[in-house]
Amino acid sequence: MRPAIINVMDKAARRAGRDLARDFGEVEQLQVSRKGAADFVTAADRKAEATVHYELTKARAEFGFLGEEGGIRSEGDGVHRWIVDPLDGTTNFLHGLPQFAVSIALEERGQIVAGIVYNPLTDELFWAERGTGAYLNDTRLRVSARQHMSESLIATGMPFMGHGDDIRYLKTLRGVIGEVAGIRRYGSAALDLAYLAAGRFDGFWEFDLNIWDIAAGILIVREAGGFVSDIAGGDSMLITGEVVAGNDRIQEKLRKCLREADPGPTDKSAAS
Amino acid sequence: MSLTALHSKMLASALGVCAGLLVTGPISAQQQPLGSANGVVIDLSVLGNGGPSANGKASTITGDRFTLFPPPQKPVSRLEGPLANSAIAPASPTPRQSSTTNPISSTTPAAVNPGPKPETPKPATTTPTVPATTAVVPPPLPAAPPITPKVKTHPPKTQTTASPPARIEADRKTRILFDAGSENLTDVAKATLDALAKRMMVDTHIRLQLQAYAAGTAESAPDARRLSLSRALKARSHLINQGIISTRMDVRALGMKTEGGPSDRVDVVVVRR
Repeated sequence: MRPAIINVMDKAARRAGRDLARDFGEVEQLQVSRKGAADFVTAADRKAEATVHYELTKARAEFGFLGEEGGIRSEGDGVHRWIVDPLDGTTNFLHGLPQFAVSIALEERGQIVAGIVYNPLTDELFWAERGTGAYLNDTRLRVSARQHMSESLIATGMPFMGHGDDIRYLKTLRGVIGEVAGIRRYGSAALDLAYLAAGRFDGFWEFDLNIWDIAAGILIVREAGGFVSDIAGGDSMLITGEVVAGNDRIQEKLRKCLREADPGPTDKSAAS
Repeated sequence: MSLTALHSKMLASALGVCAGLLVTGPISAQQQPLGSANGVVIDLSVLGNGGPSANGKASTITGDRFTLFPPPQKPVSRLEGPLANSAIAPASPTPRQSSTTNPISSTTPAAVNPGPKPETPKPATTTPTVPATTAVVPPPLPAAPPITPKVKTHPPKTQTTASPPARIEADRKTRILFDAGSENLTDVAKATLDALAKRMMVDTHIRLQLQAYAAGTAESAPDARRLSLSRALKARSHLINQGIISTRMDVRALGMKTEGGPSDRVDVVVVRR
Protein backbone atom coordinates (compact mmCIF):
# COMPACT_ATOMS: atom_id res chain seq x y z
CA MET A 1 0.00 0.00 0.00
CA ARG A 2 1.43 3.31 -1.03
CA PRO A 3 1.96 6.08 1.44
CA ALA A 4 -0.58 8.89 1.22
CA ILE A 5 1.98 11.45 0.23
CA ILE A 6 3.05 9.29 -2.70
CA ASN A 7 -0.55 9.09 -3.84
CA VAL A 8 -0.76 12.85 -3.83
CA MET A 9 2.41 13.14 -5.90
CA ASP A 10 1.35 10.29 -8.17
CA LYS A 11 -1.94 11.98 -8.99
CA ALA A 12 -0.29 15.29 -9.73
CA ALA A 13 2.38 13.69 -11.93
CA ARG A 14 -0.13 11.64 -13.89
CA ARG A 15 -2.36 14.62 -14.51
CA ALA A 16 0.57 16.62 -15.82
CA GLY A 17 1.97 13.62 -17.68
CA ARG A 18 -1.28 13.05 -19.51
CA ASP A 19 -1.15 16.55 -20.95
CA LEU A 20 2.54 16.20 -21.77
CA ALA A 21 1.93 12.95 -23.61
CA ARG A 22 -0.79 14.59 -25.67
CA ASP A 23 1.36 17.62 -26.41
CA PHE A 24 4.27 15.37 -27.28
CA GLY A 25 2.22 13.89 -30.07
CA GLU A 26 1.80 17.32 -31.56
CA VAL A 27 5.42 18.40 -31.34
CA GLU A 28 6.33 16.64 -34.56
CA GLN A 29 3.75 18.74 -36.38
CA LEU A 30 5.57 21.83 -35.26
CA GLN A 31 9.07 20.89 -36.34
CA VAL A 32 8.83 23.05 -39.43
CA SER A 33 9.05 26.10 -37.24
CA ARG A 34 11.81 25.76 -34.74
CA LYS A 35 10.79 28.80 -32.78
CA GLY A 36 7.19 27.75 -32.89
CA ALA A 37 8.06 24.33 -31.54
CA ALA A 38 10.19 25.83 -28.79
CA ASP A 39 7.39 28.13 -27.77
CA PHE A 40 4.99 25.24 -27.84
CA VAL A 41 7.25 23.19 -25.58
CA THR A 42 7.66 26.09 -23.21
CA ALA A 43 3.91 26.40 -23.02
CA ALA A 44 3.58 22.65 -22.40
CA ASP A 45 6.23 22.88 -19.69
CA ARG A 46 4.47 25.72 -17.93
CA LYS A 47 1.10 24.09 -18.25
CA ALA A 48 2.47 20.91 -16.69
CA GLU A 49 3.92 22.85 -13.79
CA ALA A 50 0.65 24.66 -13.28
CA THR A 51 -1.14 21.31 -13.17
CA VAL A 52 1.31 19.88 -10.67
CA HIS A 53 1.14 23.02 -8.57
CA TYR A 54 -2.63 22.93 -8.55
CA GLU A 55 -2.83 19.28 -7.55
CA LEU A 56 -0.17 19.48 -4.87
CA THR A 57 -1.40 22.64 -3.25
CA LYS A 58 -4.94 21.32 -3.35
CA ALA A 59 -3.81 18.38 -1.24
CA ARG A 60 -1.20 20.16 0.89
CA ALA A 61 -1.92 23.84 0.85
CA GLU A 62 0.57 24.64 3.59
CA PHE A 63 3.59 23.31 1.72
CA GLY A 64 5.96 25.59 -0.11
CA PHE A 65 6.56 25.15 -3.81
CA LEU A 66 9.71 25.46 -5.91
CA GLY A 67 9.23 24.77 -9.58
CA GLU A 68 11.64 24.80 -12.45
CA GLU A 69 9.43 26.97 -14.59
CA GLY A 70 7.86 29.29 -12.11
CA GLY A 71 10.60 29.54 -9.55
CA ILE A 72 9.47 29.94 -5.97
CA ARG A 73 5.71 30.09 -6.07
CA SER A 74 5.13 29.95 -2.37
CA GLU A 75 7.19 29.79 0.80
CA GLY A 76 4.68 27.64 2.60
CA ASP A 77 5.11 26.64 6.21
CA GLY A 78 8.86 26.87 6.06
CA VAL A 79 9.14 23.16 6.85
CA HIS A 80 7.85 21.41 3.77
CA ARG A 81 8.56 22.28 0.20
CA TRP A 82 7.69 20.67 -3.09
CA ILE A 83 10.54 20.67 -5.57
CA VAL A 84 9.17 20.13 -9.05
CA ASP A 85 10.55 19.71 -12.52
CA PRO A 86 7.42 19.39 -14.65
CA LEU A 87 9.36 18.37 -17.74
CA ASP A 88 12.83 16.97 -17.21
CA GLY A 89 14.24 16.34 -20.66
CA THR A 90 12.84 19.40 -22.37
CA THR A 91 15.21 19.16 -25.31
CA ASN A 92 14.16 15.56 -25.90
CA PHE A 93 10.55 16.65 -25.82
CA LEU A 94 11.27 19.44 -28.27
CA HIS A 95 12.92 17.04 -30.69
CA GLY A 96 10.31 14.33 -30.43
CA LEU A 97 12.49 11.96 -28.43
CA PRO A 98 10.44 9.92 -25.98
CA GLN A 99 12.70 10.35 -22.98
CA PHE A 100 11.34 12.85 -20.50
CA ALA A 101 9.67 12.78 -17.14
CA VAL A 102 7.85 14.65 -14.44
CA SER A 103 9.91 14.85 -11.26
CA ILE A 104 8.43 15.76 -7.89
CA ALA A 105 10.22 15.71 -4.57
CA LEU A 106 9.11 16.66 -1.10
CA GLU A 107 11.65 18.36 1.08
CA GLU A 108 11.14 18.47 4.83
CA ARG A 109 13.51 20.56 6.89
CA GLY A 110 16.17 20.36 4.25
CA GLN A 111 15.84 16.62 3.73
CA ILE A 112 14.17 14.94 0.79
CA VAL A 113 11.58 12.61 2.25
CA ALA A 114 9.62 11.53 -0.81
CA GLY A 115 10.14 11.57 -4.53
CA ILE A 116 8.62 10.36 -7.75
CA VAL A 117 9.83 10.30 -11.35
CA TYR A 118 7.10 9.61 -13.86
CA ASN A 119 7.58 8.84 -17.53
CA PRO A 120 4.18 9.46 -19.10
CA LEU A 121 5.01 7.70 -22.37
CA THR A 122 5.96 4.40 -20.75
CA ASP A 123 3.67 4.89 -17.76
CA GLU A 124 6.55 4.08 -15.45
CA LEU A 125 6.24 5.63 -12.02
CA PHE A 126 9.41 5.43 -10.00
CA TRP A 127 8.81 6.46 -6.44
CA ALA A 128 10.37 6.30 -3.04
CA GLU A 129 9.63 7.43 0.46
CA ARG A 130 12.41 7.85 2.90
CA GLY A 131 12.86 4.64 4.86
CA THR A 132 10.32 2.58 2.92
CA GLY A 133 12.22 1.63 -0.21
CA ALA A 134 11.96 2.47 -3.88
CA TYR A 135 9.43 1.12 -6.33
CA LEU A 136 8.64 1.04 -10.02
CA ASN A 137 4.86 1.19 -10.02
CA ASP A 138 4.29 -1.56 -7.45
CA THR A 139 7.53 -3.47 -7.87
CA ARG A 140 10.34 -3.04 -5.41
CA LEU A 141 13.50 -1.65 -6.95
CA ARG A 142 17.05 -2.66 -6.31
CA VAL A 143 20.19 -1.30 -7.87
CA SER A 144 22.33 -3.62 -9.96
CA ALA A 145 24.83 -6.01 -8.45
CA ARG A 146 27.67 -5.44 -10.88
CA GLN A 147 30.96 -5.06 -9.12
CA HIS A 148 33.45 -4.12 -11.77
CA MET A 149 33.74 -0.95 -13.77
CA SER A 150 34.66 -2.98 -16.82
CA GLU A 151 31.19 -4.50 -16.93
CA SER A 152 29.27 -1.41 -15.94
CA LEU A 153 26.97 0.72 -18.03
CA ILE A 154 27.26 4.32 -16.95
CA ALA A 155 24.84 7.13 -17.66
CA THR A 156 25.89 10.74 -17.83
CA GLY A 157 24.84 14.17 -18.88
CA MET A 158 27.05 16.61 -20.65
CA PRO A 159 27.28 20.37 -20.97
CA PHE A 160 25.68 22.13 -23.88
CA MET A 161 25.80 25.53 -25.42
CA GLY A 162 26.03 28.16 -22.75
CA HIS A 163 25.53 25.69 -19.93
CA GLY A 164 28.14 23.93 -17.89
CA ASP A 165 31.88 23.56 -17.92
CA ASP A 166 32.70 21.52 -20.98
CA ILE A 167 36.44 21.42 -20.33
CA ARG A 168 35.94 19.96 -16.91
CA TYR A 169 33.39 17.51 -18.19
CA LEU A 170 35.63 16.27 -20.97
CA LYS A 171 38.37 15.55 -18.48
CA THR A 172 36.05 13.31 -16.52
CA LEU A 173 34.68 11.68 -19.63
CA ARG A 174 38.19 10.84 -20.73
CA GLY A 175 38.87 9.33 -17.33
CA VAL A 176 35.79 7.12 -17.39
CA ILE A 177 35.45 6.19 -21.00
CA GLY A 178 38.23 3.63 -21.05
CA GLU A 179 37.19 1.97 -17.81
CA VAL A 180 33.59 0.97 -18.42
CA ALA A 181 31.53 -1.20 -20.70
CA GLY A 182 29.53 1.71 -22.04
CA ILE A 183 28.36 5.25 -21.50
CA ARG A 184 24.89 6.51 -22.26
CA ARG A 185 23.63 10.05 -22.49
CA TYR A 186 19.83 10.16 -22.56
CA GLY A 187 19.14 13.76 -21.67
CA SER A 188 17.01 13.40 -18.54
CA ALA A 189 18.87 13.25 -15.24
CA ALA A 190 15.71 12.32 -13.36
CA LEU A 191 15.18 9.27 -15.55
CA ASP A 192 18.90 8.42 -15.46
CA LEU A 193 18.74 8.20 -11.69
CA ALA A 194 15.49 6.26 -11.78
CA TYR A 195 17.00 3.80 -14.22
CA LEU A 196 20.00 3.46 -11.97
CA ALA A 197 17.67 2.59 -9.11
CA ALA A 198 16.05 -0.02 -11.33
CA GLY A 199 19.39 -1.63 -12.10
CA ARG A 200 19.37 -0.58 -15.75
CA PHE A 201 22.44 1.57 -15.25
CA ASP A 202 25.25 0.84 -12.84
CA GLY A 203 26.46 4.38 -12.39
CA PHE A 204 25.73 7.99 -13.24
CA TRP A 205 27.54 11.28 -13.09
CA GLU A 206 26.78 14.80 -14.14
CA PHE A 207 27.68 18.33 -13.13
CA ASP A 208 25.80 21.61 -13.06
CA LEU A 209 22.43 20.08 -12.35
CA ASN A 210 19.64 21.92 -10.66
CA ILE A 211 17.90 20.87 -7.50
CA TRP A 212 14.65 20.06 -9.32
CA ASP A 213 16.49 17.77 -11.73
CA ILE A 214 17.80 15.45 -9.04
CA ALA A 215 15.92 15.88 -5.77
CA ALA A 216 13.54 12.99 -6.40
CA GLY A 217 16.01 10.80 -8.25
CA ILE A 218 18.61 10.88 -5.51
CA LEU A 219 16.13 9.62 -2.94
CA ILE A 220 14.93 6.88 -5.28
CA VAL A 221 18.50 5.69 -5.85
CA ARG A 222 19.28 5.65 -2.16
CA GLU A 223 16.07 3.85 -1.30
CA ALA A 224 16.92 1.26 -3.93
CA GLY A 225 20.21 0.56 -2.19
CA GLY A 226 22.43 2.85 -4.24
CA PHE A 227 24.84 5.54 -3.18
CA VAL A 228 24.94 9.17 -4.22
CA SER A 229 27.48 11.88 -3.49
CA ASP A 230 29.13 14.84 -5.06
CA ILE A 231 32.46 14.32 -6.74
CA ALA A 232 34.33 15.00 -3.50
CA GLY A 233 32.34 12.38 -1.65
CA GLY A 234 30.18 14.89 0.18
CA ASP A 235 26.45 15.30 0.38
CA SER A 236 25.94 18.67 -1.27
CA MET A 237 24.54 17.41 -4.56
CA LEU A 238 21.37 19.45 -4.32
CA ILE A 239 23.34 22.62 -3.84
CA THR A 240 26.40 22.13 -6.00
CA GLY A 241 24.62 20.25 -8.73
CA GLU A 242 27.34 17.59 -8.83
CA VAL A 243 26.08 14.03 -8.76
CA VAL A 244 28.00 10.77 -8.73
CA ALA A 245 25.71 7.81 -8.20
CA GLY A 246 25.95 4.07 -8.47
CA ASN A 247 25.38 0.77 -6.82
CA ASP A 248 27.27 -0.01 -3.65
CA ARG A 249 30.37 -1.17 -5.53
CA ILE A 250 30.46 1.06 -8.54
CA GLN A 251 29.67 4.42 -6.99
CA GLU A 252 32.93 4.78 -5.11
CA LYS A 253 34.97 3.44 -8.02
CA LEU A 254 33.30 5.86 -10.36
CA ARG A 255 33.78 8.76 -7.99
CA LYS A 256 37.48 8.03 -7.62
CA CYS A 257 37.84 7.69 -11.33
CA LEU A 258 36.22 11.09 -11.81
CA ARG A 259 38.27 12.63 -9.05
CA GLU A 260 41.50 11.40 -10.56
CA ALA A 261 40.52 12.77 -13.92
CA ASP A 262 39.55 16.13 -12.46
CA PRO A 263 40.75 17.04 -8.98
CA GLY A 264 38.30 19.93 -9.29
CA PRO A 265 37.62 22.91 -7.13
CA THR A 266 35.48 21.06 -4.62
CA ASP A 267 37.05 19.52 -1.55
CA LYS A 268 35.34 17.16 0.78
CA SER A 269 35.80 19.31 3.85
CA ALA A 270 33.68 22.02 2.32
CA ALA A 271 30.95 19.65 1.35
CA SER A 272 28.27 18.83 3.78
CA MET B 1 -4.87 -19.23 -107.89
CA SER B 2 -7.32 -16.97 -109.55
CA LEU B 3 -6.38 -14.50 -112.21
CA THR B 4 -7.03 -11.60 -109.94
CA ALA B 5 -4.86 -13.05 -107.32
CA LEU B 6 -2.12 -13.74 -109.81
CA HIS B 7 -2.21 -10.19 -111.02
CA SER B 8 -2.11 -8.94 -107.56
CA LYS B 9 0.87 -11.06 -106.76
CA MET B 10 2.73 -9.94 -109.84
CA LEU B 11 2.02 -6.32 -109.14
CA ALA B 12 3.09 -6.76 -105.56
CA SER B 13 6.32 -8.37 -106.63
CA ALA B 14 7.08 -5.64 -109.12
CA LEU B 15 6.34 -2.90 -106.70
CA GLY B 16 8.27 -4.67 -104.00
CA VAL B 17 11.35 -4.75 -106.21
CA CYS B 18 10.93 -1.10 -107.01
CA ALA B 19 10.46 -0.28 -103.41
CA GLY B 20 13.49 -2.32 -102.50
CA LEU B 21 15.59 -0.52 -105.06
CA LEU B 22 14.37 2.78 -103.83
CA VAL B 23 14.88 2.17 -100.19
CA THR B 24 18.14 0.34 -100.45
CA GLY B 25 19.58 3.00 -102.68
CA PRO B 26 21.44 5.96 -101.43
CA ILE B 27 18.44 7.95 -100.47
CA SER B 28 19.39 10.66 -98.19
CA ALA B 29 17.20 11.78 -95.44
CA GLN B 30 16.46 14.96 -97.25
CA GLN B 31 15.25 13.30 -100.46
CA GLN B 32 11.58 12.96 -101.14
CA PRO B 33 10.54 9.40 -101.74
CA LEU B 34 9.17 8.47 -105.07
CA GLY B 35 5.59 9.36 -105.46
CA SER B 36 5.45 11.75 -102.64
CA ALA B 37 6.10 14.59 -105.02
CA ASN B 38 3.07 13.60 -107.00
CA GLY B 39 0.88 13.41 -103.99
CA VAL B 40 -0.17 9.87 -104.73
CA VAL B 41 -0.03 7.21 -102.12
CA ILE B 42 0.20 3.48 -102.57
CA ASP B 43 -0.48 1.39 -99.61
CA LEU B 44 1.21 -1.91 -100.08
CA SER B 45 -0.64 -3.37 -97.22
CA VAL B 46 -3.62 -3.69 -99.47
CA LEU B 47 -1.62 -5.88 -101.78
CA GLY B 48 -0.02 -7.67 -98.95
CA ASN B 49 -3.31 -8.72 -97.70
CA GLY B 50 -4.42 -9.80 -101.12
CA GLY B 51 -3.19 -13.37 -101.03
CA PRO B 52 -0.43 -15.72 -100.21
CA SER B 53 3.09 -14.98 -101.18
CA ALA B 54 5.26 -16.99 -103.49
CA ASN B 55 6.45 -19.19 -100.75
CA GLY B 56 2.95 -19.94 -99.79
CA LYS B 57 2.95 -17.83 -96.74
CA ALA B 58 0.75 -14.85 -96.21
CA SER B 59 2.28 -11.62 -97.30
CA THR B 60 3.32 -9.41 -94.47
CA ILE B 61 3.80 -6.04 -95.90
CA THR B 62 1.50 -4.45 -93.50
CA GLY B 63 2.43 -1.04 -92.49
CA ASP B 64 4.71 -0.42 -95.41
CA ARG B 65 3.07 2.05 -97.59
CA PHE B 66 4.23 3.24 -100.90
CA THR B 67 2.95 6.17 -102.80
CA LEU B 68 1.31 5.85 -106.20
CA PHE B 69 -2.36 6.56 -105.86
CA PRO B 70 -4.74 6.87 -102.98
CA PRO B 71 -6.33 3.65 -101.96
CA PRO B 72 -9.96 3.28 -102.79
CA GLN B 73 -10.72 2.55 -99.22
CA LYS B 74 -8.94 2.68 -96.04
CA PRO B 75 -6.64 -0.29 -95.95
CA VAL B 76 -6.82 -2.81 -93.25
CA SER B 77 -3.49 -2.41 -91.71
CA ARG B 78 -2.28 -2.74 -88.18
CA LEU B 79 -0.39 0.47 -88.52
CA GLU B 80 -3.50 2.26 -89.56
CA GLY B 81 -5.07 1.33 -86.32
CA PRO B 82 -5.28 3.45 -83.28
CA LEU B 83 -1.80 2.62 -82.20
CA ALA B 84 -0.33 3.82 -85.45
CA ASN B 85 -2.12 7.10 -85.19
CA SER B 86 -0.97 7.63 -81.73
CA ALA B 87 2.48 8.36 -80.58
CA ILE B 88 2.70 5.07 -78.77
CA ALA B 89 4.78 2.32 -80.25
CA PRO B 90 2.97 -0.96 -80.72
CA ALA B 91 3.73 -3.51 -78.15
CA SER B 92 4.34 -6.34 -80.61
CA PRO B 93 4.47 -5.17 -84.19
CA THR B 94 4.24 -7.61 -87.01
CA PRO B 95 7.54 -8.97 -88.24
CA ARG B 96 8.55 -7.58 -91.56
CA GLN B 97 9.85 -9.12 -94.66
CA SER B 98 13.10 -7.94 -96.05
CA SER B 99 11.73 -6.40 -99.19
CA THR B 100 9.15 -4.35 -97.41
CA THR B 101 11.02 -3.02 -94.48
CA ASN B 102 11.25 0.46 -95.89
CA PRO B 103 9.37 2.64 -93.48
CA ILE B 104 9.64 5.77 -95.56
CA SER B 105 6.33 7.49 -95.69
CA SER B 106 5.27 10.43 -97.76
CA THR B 107 3.20 11.64 -94.88
CA THR B 108 6.25 12.07 -92.81
CA PRO B 109 8.71 14.65 -93.99
CA ALA B 110 12.14 13.20 -93.92
CA ALA B 111 13.57 16.24 -92.33
CA VAL B 112 11.23 15.86 -89.42
CA ASN B 113 11.07 12.16 -89.22
CA PRO B 114 13.99 10.45 -90.75
CA GLY B 115 12.64 7.21 -89.42
CA PRO B 116 14.72 4.18 -88.94
CA LYS B 117 17.62 3.87 -91.22
CA PRO B 118 17.38 1.38 -94.04
CA GLU B 119 18.30 -1.79 -92.44
CA THR B 120 19.29 -5.19 -93.44
CA PRO B 121 16.80 -7.97 -93.12
CA LYS B 122 16.26 -8.99 -89.62
CA PRO B 123 14.95 -12.17 -88.19
CA ALA B 124 11.30 -12.30 -87.55
CA THR B 125 11.93 -11.86 -83.90
CA THR B 126 13.34 -8.41 -84.37
CA THR B 127 11.18 -5.89 -82.68
CA PRO B 128 11.02 -2.47 -84.19
CA THR B 129 10.78 0.28 -81.72
CA VAL B 130 8.94 2.92 -83.67
CA PRO B 131 6.16 2.54 -86.17
CA ALA B 132 6.66 4.12 -89.53
CA THR B 133 3.71 6.42 -89.45
CA THR B 134 4.47 8.08 -86.20
CA ALA B 135 5.95 11.47 -86.51
CA VAL B 136 7.28 11.67 -83.03
CA VAL B 137 10.49 9.79 -83.50
CA PRO B 138 13.17 12.15 -82.44
CA PRO B 139 16.02 12.71 -84.78
CA PRO B 140 19.19 10.93 -83.88
CA LEU B 141 20.85 12.70 -81.10
CA PRO B 142 24.11 14.34 -81.83
CA ALA B 143 27.09 12.86 -80.22
CA ALA B 144 26.74 13.58 -76.57
CA PRO B 145 29.40 15.84 -75.25
CA PRO B 146 31.59 14.26 -72.65
CA ILE B 147 30.11 14.62 -69.24
CA THR B 148 32.20 16.87 -67.19
CA PRO B 149 31.47 17.41 -63.56
CA LYS B 150 30.55 20.87 -62.57
CA VAL B 151 33.48 22.68 -61.22
CA LYS B 152 32.93 25.62 -59.01
CA THR B 153 34.68 28.55 -60.44
CA HIS B 154 34.72 30.60 -57.33
CA PRO B 155 37.77 30.29 -55.15
CA PRO B 156 37.54 28.05 -52.10
CA LYS B 157 36.32 29.68 -49.00
CA THR B 158 38.87 30.81 -46.60
CA GLN B 159 38.82 29.70 -43.02
CA THR B 160 36.18 31.50 -41.10
CA THR B 161 37.41 33.73 -38.42
CA ALA B 162 34.20 33.82 -36.44
CA SER B 163 34.38 32.18 -33.08
CA PRO B 164 32.22 29.12 -32.48
CA PRO B 165 28.79 30.11 -31.25
CA ALA B 166 28.91 27.69 -28.37
CA ARG B 167 31.72 29.52 -26.69
CA ILE B 168 31.10 32.26 -24.27
CA GLU B 169 31.99 35.53 -25.87
CA ALA B 170 31.97 37.83 -22.93
CA ASP B 171 31.27 37.79 -19.25
CA ARG B 172 29.89 40.65 -17.29
CA LYS B 173 29.03 40.53 -13.64
CA THR B 174 26.32 42.37 -11.83
CA ARG B 175 26.57 42.15 -8.06
CA ILE B 176 23.53 41.85 -5.83
CA LEU B 177 24.07 42.23 -2.10
CA PHE B 178 22.06 40.60 0.66
CA ASP B 179 21.69 41.31 4.32
CA ALA B 180 23.68 38.95 6.50
CA GLY B 181 21.83 35.69 7.06
CA SER B 182 18.95 36.76 4.82
CA GLU B 183 17.81 35.34 1.54
CA ASN B 184 15.35 38.13 0.81
CA LEU B 185 16.00 40.57 -1.99
CA THR B 186 16.51 44.17 -1.02
CA ASP B 187 14.87 46.97 -2.96
CA VAL B 188 18.18 47.79 -4.55
CA ALA B 189 18.63 44.16 -5.56
CA LYS B 190 15.15 44.07 -7.08
CA ALA B 191 15.84 47.22 -9.08
CA THR B 192 19.08 45.75 -10.34
CA LEU B 193 17.33 42.55 -11.38
CA ASP B 194 14.55 44.49 -13.06
CA ALA B 195 17.09 46.29 -15.17
CA LEU B 196 18.67 42.96 -16.08
CA ALA B 197 15.30 41.54 -17.00
CA LYS B 198 14.61 44.46 -19.33
CA ARG B 199 17.94 43.90 -20.98
CA MET B 200 17.23 40.21 -21.43
CA MET B 201 13.87 40.93 -22.95
CA VAL B 202 15.54 43.06 -25.59
CA ASP B 203 18.61 40.91 -26.18
CA THR B 204 17.47 37.33 -26.52
CA HIS B 205 20.99 36.03 -27.02
CA ILE B 206 22.13 36.46 -23.47
CA ARG B 207 21.60 34.21 -20.52
CA LEU B 208 22.46 34.49 -16.88
CA GLN B 209 24.48 32.54 -14.42
CA LEU B 210 23.53 33.23 -10.84
CA GLN B 211 26.58 32.64 -8.66
CA ALA B 212 25.42 32.80 -5.08
CA TYR B 213 27.50 33.10 -1.90
CA ALA B 214 26.89 33.26 1.82
CA ALA B 215 29.05 33.89 4.84
CA GLY B 216 29.79 31.03 7.17
CA THR B 217 32.37 29.15 9.10
CA ALA B 218 33.91 25.75 8.54
CA GLU B 219 31.27 24.26 10.80
CA SER B 220 28.41 26.04 9.09
CA ALA B 221 29.56 25.44 5.53
CA PRO B 222 26.49 23.33 4.68
CA ASP B 223 24.22 26.07 5.97
CA ALA B 224 26.10 28.64 3.93
CA ARG B 225 25.62 26.55 0.83
CA ARG B 226 21.92 26.23 1.44
CA LEU B 227 21.58 29.93 2.10
CA SER B 228 23.47 30.72 -1.07
CA LEU B 229 21.18 28.41 -3.02
CA SER B 230 18.14 30.10 -1.55
CA ARG B 231 19.51 33.50 -2.55
CA ALA B 232 20.12 32.35 -6.10
CA LEU B 233 16.63 30.88 -6.29
CA LYS B 234 15.14 34.10 -4.99
CA ALA B 235 16.91 36.08 -7.66
CA ARG B 236 15.87 33.55 -10.27
CA SER B 237 12.24 33.68 -9.21
CA HIS B 238 12.26 37.45 -9.36
CA LEU B 239 13.53 37.32 -12.91
CA ILE B 240 10.95 34.69 -13.84
CA ASN B 241 8.26 36.97 -12.48
CA GLN B 242 9.61 39.68 -14.75
CA GLY B 243 9.02 37.42 -17.73
CA ILE B 244 12.39 35.79 -18.19
CA ILE B 245 12.15 32.18 -19.24
CA SER B 246 13.65 29.78 -16.72
CA THR B 247 15.91 28.04 -19.20
CA ARG B 248 17.92 31.21 -19.69
CA MET B 249 19.25 31.10 -16.16
CA ASP B 250 21.64 28.76 -14.39
CA VAL B 251 21.99 28.61 -10.65
CA ARG B 252 25.32 28.05 -8.88
CA ALA B 253 25.29 27.83 -5.11
CA LEU B 254 28.88 28.34 -4.07
CA GLY B 255 28.44 28.86 -0.34
CA MET B 256 31.46 30.25 1.41
CA LYS B 257 33.77 30.21 -1.60
CA THR B 258 33.45 33.89 -2.11
CA GLU B 259 36.86 34.33 -3.78
CA GLY B 260 37.05 37.88 -2.54
CA GLY B 261 34.37 40.49 -2.24
CA PRO B 262 31.46 40.55 0.16
CA SER B 263 30.25 37.20 1.44
CA ASP B 264 26.53 37.80 1.19
CA ARG B 265 25.98 38.32 -2.47
CA VAL B 266 24.83 36.91 -5.78
CA ASP B 267 26.92 37.64 -8.83
CA VAL B 268 24.82 37.68 -11.95
CA VAL B 269 27.09 36.79 -14.84
CA VAL B 270 25.77 37.77 -18.24
CA VAL B 271 26.76 35.20 -20.80
CA ARG B 272 26.41 35.93 -24.47
CA ARG B 273 26.36 33.07 -26.90
